[in-house]
Amino acid sequence: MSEMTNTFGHQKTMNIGFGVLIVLLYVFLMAPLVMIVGASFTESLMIEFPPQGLSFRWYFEFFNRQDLVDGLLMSLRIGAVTAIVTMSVAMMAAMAGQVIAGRLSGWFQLGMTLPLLVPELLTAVGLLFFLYKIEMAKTVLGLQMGHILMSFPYAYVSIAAAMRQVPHSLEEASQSLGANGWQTFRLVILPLVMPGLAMGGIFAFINSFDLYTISLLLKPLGGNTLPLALFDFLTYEFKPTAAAAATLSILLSIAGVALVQRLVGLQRAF
Amino acid sequence: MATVEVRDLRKRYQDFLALDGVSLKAETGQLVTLLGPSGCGKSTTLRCLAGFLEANGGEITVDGESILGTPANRRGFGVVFQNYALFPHMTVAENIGYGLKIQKLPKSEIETRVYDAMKLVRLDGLGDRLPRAISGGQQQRVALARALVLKPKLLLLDEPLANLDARLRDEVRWLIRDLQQQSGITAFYVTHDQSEAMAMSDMVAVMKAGRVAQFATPREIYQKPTERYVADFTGEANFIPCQSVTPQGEGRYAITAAGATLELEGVPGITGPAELLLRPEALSLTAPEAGTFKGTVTKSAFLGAALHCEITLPDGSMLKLAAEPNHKVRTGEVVGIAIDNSHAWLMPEVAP
Amino acid sequence: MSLKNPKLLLAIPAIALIFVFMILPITNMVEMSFRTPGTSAPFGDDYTAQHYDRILSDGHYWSVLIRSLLTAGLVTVLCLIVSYPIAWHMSKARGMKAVFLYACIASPLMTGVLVRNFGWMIAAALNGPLNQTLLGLGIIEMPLRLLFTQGLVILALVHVFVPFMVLPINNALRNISPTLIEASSSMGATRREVFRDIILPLSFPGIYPGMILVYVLAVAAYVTPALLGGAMVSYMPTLIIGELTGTFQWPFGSALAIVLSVSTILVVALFTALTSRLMERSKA
Repeated sequence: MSEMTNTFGHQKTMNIGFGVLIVLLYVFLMAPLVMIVGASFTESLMIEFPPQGLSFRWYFEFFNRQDLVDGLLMSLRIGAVTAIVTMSVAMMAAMAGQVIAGRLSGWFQLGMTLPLLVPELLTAVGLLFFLYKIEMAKTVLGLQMGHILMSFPYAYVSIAAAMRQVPHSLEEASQSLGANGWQTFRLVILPLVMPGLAMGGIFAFINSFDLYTISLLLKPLGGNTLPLALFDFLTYEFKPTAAAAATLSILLSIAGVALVQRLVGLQRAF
Repeated sequence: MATVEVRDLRKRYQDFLALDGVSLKAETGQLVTLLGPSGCGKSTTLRCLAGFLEANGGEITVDGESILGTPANRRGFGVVFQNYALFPHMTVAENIGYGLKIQKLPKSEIETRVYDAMKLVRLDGLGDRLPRAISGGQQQRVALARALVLKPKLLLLDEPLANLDARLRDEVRWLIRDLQQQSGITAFYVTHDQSEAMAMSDMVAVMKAGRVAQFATPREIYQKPTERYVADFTGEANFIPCQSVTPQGEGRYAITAAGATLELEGVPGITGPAELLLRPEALSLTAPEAGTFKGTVTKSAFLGAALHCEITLPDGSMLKLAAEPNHKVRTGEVVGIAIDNSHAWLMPEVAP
Repeated sequence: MSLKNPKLLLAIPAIALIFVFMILPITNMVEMSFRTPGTSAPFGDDYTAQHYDRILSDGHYWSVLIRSLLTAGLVTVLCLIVSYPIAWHMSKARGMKAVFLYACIASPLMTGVLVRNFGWMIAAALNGPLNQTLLGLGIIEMPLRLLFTQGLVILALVHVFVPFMVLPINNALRNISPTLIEASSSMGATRREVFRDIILPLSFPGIYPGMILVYVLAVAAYVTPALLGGAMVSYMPTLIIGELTGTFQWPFGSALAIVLSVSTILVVALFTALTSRLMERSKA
């Protein structure tokens, strides 16, 4: 940056003004998260920021609330299944995508990211009717399929990007050395795309954990995911327990960000 | 038109000294080439001239006035970049006319000047194309026209031919030189290609690790280099260490080297150890007894226009020379080597 | 042909997933929108266009549709204004600073919409930080009721979508060669002119997908208006979900969803047509 200071001459005031603007914009970006975390430690009965005192009572409260804990467990379970299924399906799709050439390749990429590009609402409404038609309405399996569908593009994009980094010649080299297709995959391709694959899994898990609209329409009888339980809680009770629950969810996303940074680096991931 | 002087220019990046006291001078209408390998500071010097970089010390004057306080956009210099830096979203005509538009000239004047500039670089009829729709040579000419249309005081060219293939390079090289001489613009030209530097320049500055190793005409740089680095960088060169050096007046020496005694010109004021520079074209093959040196042919290769020979002298030094292509030589043969004394040159021996 | 390559078979599970659980259901929804209303079931057995007729002839639905489209437009423009400086600043950063800034963008992105909206509920409370700041700056004298207002919905939506805008613009800015900026400054352009003539047009390949994505997502956003908008103001998504889960009018809800989708596509198509020349020129 300092390399170009002289190109336009020095403009200190402008640089300071811009700096202040950037700080304000980042405050805007981070403030809601900071307020939630802050409010979760309050001693008072009100959700408020800045918090009154410092206590962990709302975290205990959260883990004593059966509906919220059930929601958390349900979300974790669905997220884990979503991550595993999308990772495998996306890995296969990315390998197929490698051998598609030319114009078709662009269409294939587009098709694989379709659930990301079509609004969640539309997909959710369509699925609601469709699951009813195939008699899977209001089942955990139906909801699970919805989550897998919505999270698939995240896994696919990460894995396909990692696959593109592997030169085709490595595969040929492995085969020329006598490895069969499966050995080549297991010993050459898989280790090289592992970070991208893991990142895809993390994205899929976190996306599933955060989904709301589709869960609302497809929710099974008597089952709630954490966002659904939290929404109801916010609507009817509005106590700092919600802040504690939300803080856990924020911690999860920060852990995800840190993992992605370690695996492939944020700059390459986004 | 302008006289440009660079005095003791310094530029430091954190712990790396990019320019360590560069001094140069360009008289009005001269083309000065900055020649050197990558990392020698030639581009950094040019970027300081353009105003893209701020020097940490030294002075740059144009017609006697310092320009260091003037930002790049008010220096009024034309810059031609290695990658051309054409605006990809503007047509050829819009690229060339951009600087005129910035000056808020009337549309009609912009149109005529752009038209004239396109004609000058033979781009007629390509005005509506986007840069990506024309060839590399054409892109280079757009970049040139874009810089010249503003009638700059000084033209700065940063390896403008590096991305062109050999045939186009020759063509564009002459175009640049012609336009520069026609318009009488002072120009600085950065390159790592010695033949380009030789062919185009009025003056050449051979740069080495942030300093100017030698600043002189192309002829002097080639025939009378001040140090081995310069001789090496400007063409094929043989070096033979001297056993004894006796000064014979201003810039003349009598020496013995590889068993031969000869008298020749050299860098003035040599006191310590010296070495003899012999360009391949200063050498020719003769009968073993007729030459100044005697040696054994260790390698020969037919290159079409010449026969390339490597000859090992008794003291172990090696000479490369270009013999007449039909000359018969065999590996292992003992031959004599005649020297054209006017092409021999003595230099002080310094650690490279 | 390349179809002989057995590796292509590996795409089958993914294609099946998207076809069966997305293409089929959405096609099915189009069909649903032409069904007659049901009496004991959520939909009847016959076909009719009456739902579209009802939506298009009722001023109430028109006004909700237009509110949704305009709100999403406003959100998109605000998002662009907020995101551009962030993307610019980010595109200049290198090393650990860049990692930190990416983390600042990625953390909200990876936190659920519901959680982030909840943060705004805290901020917008009567004696919450937002009101305190406004009071402190002397802009207002009495705390404002911010919760359940359109303004808060818009603010929260902008917050939700900023990362979607920042990332593509940041990538586009990083792809602009610094020599282009040097070239234009050597031709006499000022900082402002360089921005207007070079940087802004060349970042359009990032602005365009950012704007489209944010618009499409904002039009169909359900959680934010449902949580922060209250019952007073309705948007299409809240209306649609209400029809489906509240009154179980599936055909009518489908028709509303399709009207919303078609209008969104029209807006996107219009925007694309208006900017096609710029896009054609500025793409890499």
